[in-house]
Formats: sequence, C-alpha cells, structure tokens
Amino acid sequence: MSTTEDKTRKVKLVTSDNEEFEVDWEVATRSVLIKHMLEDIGESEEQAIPLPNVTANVLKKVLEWCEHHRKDPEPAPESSDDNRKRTLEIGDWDAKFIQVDQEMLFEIILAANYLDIKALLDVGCKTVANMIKGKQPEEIRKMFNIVNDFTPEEEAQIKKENEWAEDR
Amino acid sequence: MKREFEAKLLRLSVGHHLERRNGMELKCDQQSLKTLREKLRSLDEHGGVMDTRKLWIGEDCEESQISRLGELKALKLTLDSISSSLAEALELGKASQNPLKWHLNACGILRLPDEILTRIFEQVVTNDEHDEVDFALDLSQVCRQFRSVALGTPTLWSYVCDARRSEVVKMLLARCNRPRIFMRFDSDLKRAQRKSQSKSSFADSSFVRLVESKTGKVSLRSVSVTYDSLKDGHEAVNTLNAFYESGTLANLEQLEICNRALKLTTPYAHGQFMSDEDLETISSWNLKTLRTLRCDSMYPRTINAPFLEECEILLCPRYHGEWNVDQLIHFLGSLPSIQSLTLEFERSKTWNPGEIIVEVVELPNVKQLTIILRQHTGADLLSAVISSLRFPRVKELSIEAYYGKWEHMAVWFNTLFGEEDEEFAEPDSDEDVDVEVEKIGNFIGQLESLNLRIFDESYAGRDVFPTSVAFGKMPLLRHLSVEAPGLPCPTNWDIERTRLKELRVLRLKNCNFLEHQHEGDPLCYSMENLSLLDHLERIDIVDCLDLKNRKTEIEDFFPREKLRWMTASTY
Repeated sequence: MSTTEDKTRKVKLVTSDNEEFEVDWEVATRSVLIKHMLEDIGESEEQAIPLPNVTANVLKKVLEWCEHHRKDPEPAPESSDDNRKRTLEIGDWDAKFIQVDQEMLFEIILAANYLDIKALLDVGCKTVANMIKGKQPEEIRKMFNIVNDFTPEEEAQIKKENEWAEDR
Repeated sequence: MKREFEAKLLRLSVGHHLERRNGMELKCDQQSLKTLREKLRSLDEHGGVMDTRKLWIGEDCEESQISRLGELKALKLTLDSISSSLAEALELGKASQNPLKWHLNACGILRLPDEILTRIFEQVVTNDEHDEVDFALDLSQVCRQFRSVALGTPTLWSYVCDARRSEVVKMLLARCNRPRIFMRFDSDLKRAQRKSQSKSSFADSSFVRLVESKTGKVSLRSVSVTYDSLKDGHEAVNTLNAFYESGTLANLEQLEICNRALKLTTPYAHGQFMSDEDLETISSWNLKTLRTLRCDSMYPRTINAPFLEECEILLCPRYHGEWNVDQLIHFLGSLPSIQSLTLEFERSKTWNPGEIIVEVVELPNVKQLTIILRQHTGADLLSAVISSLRFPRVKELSIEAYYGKWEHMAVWFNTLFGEEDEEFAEPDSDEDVDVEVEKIGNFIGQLESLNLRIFDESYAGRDVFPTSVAFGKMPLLRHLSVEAPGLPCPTNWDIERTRLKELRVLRLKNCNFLEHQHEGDPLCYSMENLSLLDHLERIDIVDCLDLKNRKTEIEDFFPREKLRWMTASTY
C-alpha cells in the first residue's frame, strides 16, 4: 500500500548505457521489479536502481507507458483459466503507443518482462498475436524475416501434418 | 652395410659443415666438399637417397643463394596472395555488416524467450476452438524455434475433436496433456466417413476407442452432439447412452445436444426432432459432474445434473410451431443450482406459447441472465417465459436483440422493463431500495450490471432505443455496457439517476447521454451528469467514431484517468 509520502518521492533509475532517469515513485513502481528493489533498499532516496538489461531509449518508452498508466489499479493475478477467455482487445492509447518498429516492439516486450510490468507485457504480446493471427507460416516468416530452417525430415513431417489437417 | 655407412658418413659431414655455418664460421673447405660430392654421386649411381640438403653443397654457393632467393620469392608471392585474400574477406565482411545487422534486428521475435512466445501463441490460439488446431499447426510450421515452443505448449493442442482424421487425433493426443474432447454427430460426418476410412467416427465409437488407446480409459469432459433428423437423434442418444452405461461420461463437464436442421430451417420447421423415448433416456442419466448444458428445444422434462452451473437453451418451436413453454419451465425447475442462464429465442413466425400449466418456477441461484431475441420473436412468448420464472438473485442481465422491427423491439423491452411510465423514484436508503424492487415485482430493480447489444442495421439512424429502458428503474445499477452499431443513443435514459461505477459504450453513433445539451451548447453538462461522474470509476469508449472525433473536448471534461479509448479487434 502506497503512502502520500511515497507518491511525492522520486526514484533514480540507471540504464545499461549509464543514463540516469529520475521519475515519480508512483510511475516507477508500475514495475514489480523496481517496487521490490525499492522495498529492499528502504528509505535511501539517493541510491539509484541499476537496470542492466534496459537501454535508455527503451526505458524512456517504458516510462512513457508507466506515466500514462500510473493511476491504473493493480492487475489481478492471472489464473490458468484466463487463457481461454482472453481477447486481443487493446486500448486506443496503448494501440497508438505500441505503434513502433519491430525492433522497439520486441525491446519493449523484453523490458516489460524483465521489469515485471504485466499489463505492458500483455499489450506487447497482444500486438504480436494480432500481427500473427490468421496468417500462413510463409506470411509469418516474411513479416518477421524468419528463415525456414527445417530439415528435410521435418519438412516431410510438416507436409504430412498438413495433408491430415486438410481432410477434415 | 656399405650404403648405410656411406649415408651416415654423409650425414655427419653435412652436419659438421652446417654446425660450422651456424657458428658463423662458414668457411669453404673445397677438399672436403669435393669428397662429399663424389660420395653423393656414387650414392646416386647406386640408387642412393636424394637428400635435398645437397643444395647447400652445390658447386657454386651463388647458385644455392639464387635458388634460396627463388624460394623466398615464391614464399612472398604466397604471402601476398594470402594478404590479398584477407583484405578481400575483410571488405566482404564490411559489406555484409549492414544487411546482417538488419537481419538480426528483423528476427527480433526469435530473441524473445520461450515463455513469452508461449504467451503470444496462447493469445493467437484463443476463443476460436474450431480453428485452434489450424492456428497451432500454422505456428508450428514457421521455423524450428516456433515449432519447439508450439509443441511444448500443450494448451495449443487440447481441442481434440472427432471430426478430424484419426492421424490428427493421434497427433493432438500426443501433444496435449489434458485433452478437451469434443464429439460431433451429424450426417455430414457420416458421409465423410464413408469417403475416408481413416477418419475417426463418433457413430461407431472408433473415436473413443482411439482416444482410449492413447490415453487409457477415456473420460469425456465435453460432448457436443449435432444431428439432423429424428433418426440421427435416436442414434446419437443410443450412442451416448452406451457411453453413459460404460462410465465414459462419469466426469462429463459440458454437454451440447442440438438439432442443426432445426436452426437452419426455422421458422418453417415442422415435426418433432427427438422422440419422447430418447428424451426419457436423457432424463434417466445421473450427470453429477455436469457444469454446462447447451441444448435446443429438444430438452427433456427433467435432467439430473445437481451441480449444473450454466445452461444455454435455444428456444425453437417443438411441435408444428408450438413452443411448449410449460415443458421449458418444468425443465428449468429441475435445475435449481444454475447460476447462469441463457435463453435464446430463435426466429419464428409462430408465436404460440402452448398451454402453461406450471405457474411460476423460482431459480434461486441464477446471478447472470442472458436473453437473446431474434427477428419475429413473439412478445407473448417472451412474456409467457419471463413471467413464469422468478430470479430473486439476478444481478447481471444481458440482452441481445437482432434485427427486430422497431415495433418488436419496443414490445420486447416493454415486456422486460415494464411500460414507459412505470418509473420509480431514486431510493435514499437500502430500505427504500427493497421497497422499490418489490414494487417492480421482477428482477429489473435489483440489477447491478446491464449489457445491451442492439443490432438493427436495417433501420440504422432511427431512434430505435426503447424508452422503457429507463435507468430510474435500476437504482442499484453499477455497470452498464451499450453496444448498438450505427444507432444514436436516446436522450431520455436518465443515466444520471444511477450511481454507475463502470460504463462501456461500443460503436454508438453518438452518446447523448454522456452530455446534457443546454441552450445549444453541446458541452454544457448538467449537475446531474457531474454527479454521475463522481461515481464513475471507468469509462470505456470502444469504436465510437463521433466520440473519438471529439476526444480532446471529452478529455477536457472527463477525468482522463477514468477514460479508456479502445479498439475492438475481436467481437
């Protein structure tokens, strides 16, 4: 539970490329990782939190998301049945926010995963899922520039699977 | 022996000669060299060894030096060639650096850890069971990493359906750890089986045998039966009964029994689609684990499913256009445990509800009620069903109305919500709330959540929203969702009389009820609306073009953190 004092508190974050960001406690603690680190270091306001897996340009983007969602309620814990009920719905702001090139999109996903920001990770994964949904393997390869690295044996197995699946 | 001796002597002499040379005391002893030359010549003549070291002892040192220089020259040429090759390789490396960098970036998806790829795949393969296997197959055929992740995610493969070839069923069973087994029974499938012997079959139980052979004793979790005719229905019930008796249905959680032809041919359907004898058979089953039941009007008079939670019924005329509401009410009366009830009124021009003997049945545990109304659904039928049921604990109501004429819409909503003038004052205390709810006499007054979906595209633009849906009748309402593509909202819904916490509007043409128009000023909000805002914690605006065009104005007025602009990609 955050106190009024917490909300006025500033947090220093240091990226892998040694850039320092000073942000509101409420914004920084959208990340569960940072929240736990802050709990560990206690009242020591001067101590900067090192984020060795995030570069400055990615952290800037992540903090933009955290700033916009600073007042959001804590996300509910995920249950195993949630998978069945998921939709690919994304809020307008989030959809616009995540309109970035592929490199940045995957960097954001990796950063959200590392920083433990479930809602942002969800936005990133839904965006990629939306890109993939309904596409044939060749279209997916083309979209993400993936090389078809199957062995001839695997290709034969895939061909067989397709033959089975086509005859419903 | 002689040869050995001579060779040894030669080695010693040359060694000595070299020692001297290495010792920087290189002196040309002509006599000894001459002797050695003779010995070598003699050795050659007798087929002796040809030692390259004799180059050192040529007739002329100059000759030897020239030869060495020749070797050095050749060596230099080789080194030059190597150097040139290296320079070339370096250039090639530099040239390929940019595309390689681009390639590495572009393949970023493969940098994601497997658990994230799994999460993405699960989102791709969701809410669309019939295409699940196809999506999973597509994902597993992109590249080796995708395949490894897809095959390692059992949830992608758990939809095991008998309508697939046996090879596919085997593949799915091998890849999922907890199958959700779906079975179908229809004439299309039987025709397909005749064509393809390898296809698994529900009718002759080969699907079950196949599943059993892979998983041990099979215990069906979900059975979906669709059939076309009385004969097919009889066969389906007989097969299910055989499964029931063998214990295959002992853990059944979901059961669906629907006549496909009935849905396709209504409102012109005539005749009976499942015999009373078959319905009696279904009544005799003790389905202790059943949680969800979906059926059409071929429901039995009672069903023994004491822990049933969800029930969906597609209401169609049963006998020559007769709806037999009495049997429906009796059937629902045998399901006191249900918490969620969906009544879908299939389109029909025949409105005869039949003779009603059972007066009122109470469903004490129903918290969610969904009513789906289609074209031509008779208001007298709707009224007969709703007035025969009591829902003392309903908190959530969803109404979906499709393509009804405005007159029908009005009658439907008046039937559900009461006449327009049946309004009640906003209660001041909990005690007052009870009084108001009692006055309304049914469940509308106790609603906490209302979800309206109205589709009337043929009358787009008309003010078709029912005025009877006045929020003054719902003092406890906290969650409201309204979806009506292309339709303008009414201005008289009294939304300010609620204490809504969450509001979601989807695809409305305009949302007048979000504003209060005073003296031509569209942005002059009334005090009542301000009071509404105090209670609202969340407003979701989904695909509402009019509102989106005025986003800046709306964000100036509404607290930004309460607003969520959304795009519905899946509905």
